[in-house]
Amino acid sequence: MCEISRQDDPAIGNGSRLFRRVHLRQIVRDENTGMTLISSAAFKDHELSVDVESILLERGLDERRCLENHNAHRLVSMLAGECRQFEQIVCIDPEEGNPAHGLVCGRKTGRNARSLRDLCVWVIPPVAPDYQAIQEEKQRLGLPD
Amino acid sequence: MATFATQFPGSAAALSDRDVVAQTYWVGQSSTVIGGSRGSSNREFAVELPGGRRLVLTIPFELDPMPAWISPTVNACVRILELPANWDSYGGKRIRAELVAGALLILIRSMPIDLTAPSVVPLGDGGVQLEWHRRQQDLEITFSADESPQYYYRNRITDEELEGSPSSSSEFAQLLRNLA
Repeated sequence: MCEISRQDDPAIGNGSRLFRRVHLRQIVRDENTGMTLISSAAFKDHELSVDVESILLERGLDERRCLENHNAHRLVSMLAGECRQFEQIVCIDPEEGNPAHGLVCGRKTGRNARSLRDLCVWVIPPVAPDYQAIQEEKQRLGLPD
Repeated sequence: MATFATQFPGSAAALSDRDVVAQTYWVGQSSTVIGGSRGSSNREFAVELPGGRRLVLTIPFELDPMPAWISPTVNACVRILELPANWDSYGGKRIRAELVAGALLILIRSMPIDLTAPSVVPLGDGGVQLEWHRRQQDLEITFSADESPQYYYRNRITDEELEGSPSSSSEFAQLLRNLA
């Protein structure tokens, strides 16, 4: 659960991008479209870790920093304002070695998590990867289905 | 050998009508699907898990032939059980065998025999999510570490959305049939 002390941070503007790593095991195939689909499971943590783009930029960093040493992940983004529309608190939670770490706090029902997922935009890669490419990457990394 | 065994949400009593049983034991160190062998009145999937535990899933012989979804689903469950701590890079917990067993039990009780295997997706809290995205519908069942199992359904054509418990809902069974 979110800690009671968490408060929304207005310094993170509604237009701020929040980056979220998604593990390859959380990318599934949408049989309706044949395309990849990020599982809503990637958005169900009560305290959902993200990296705040504005803080990365202040330090001369960008989205590529988020995937350093994370071969089994891809990167998506959502806007802080969109998260707030779903009764989520957005705040900074600096960590050692990562001052851009933030949290999207609040209960994620199935509907909320699906909505957050639908709002996500692919960052790395910049467009939704082919599902076959995801499968091949899982094999390469020793993560077969 | 067996120093630990447990029953899972919705197991023994609730499922006694179909004699579905799941248990975990502490045993060897590998993580290999042993399963599929037949007994006199049932067949048994035994999965050795990381950390020396064994998940045993006993399925009644009435499910013959074995539904096609069982083998890929059990294999996918084993794969996520192998994930290390911090697998999601955000402090994600290792997937809990009892939650996976609970998920498999609900599937065995509810799945239409001709429905395709679900995607098996890990949750950061050690839980598991099963999901289908087909026939212009989305169905997700979440087995979280700190909440009872919940399903979420959406029809992409009508935009109808439903949420509820898969354990006690005839509506849930109907949603599964609609996916087949």
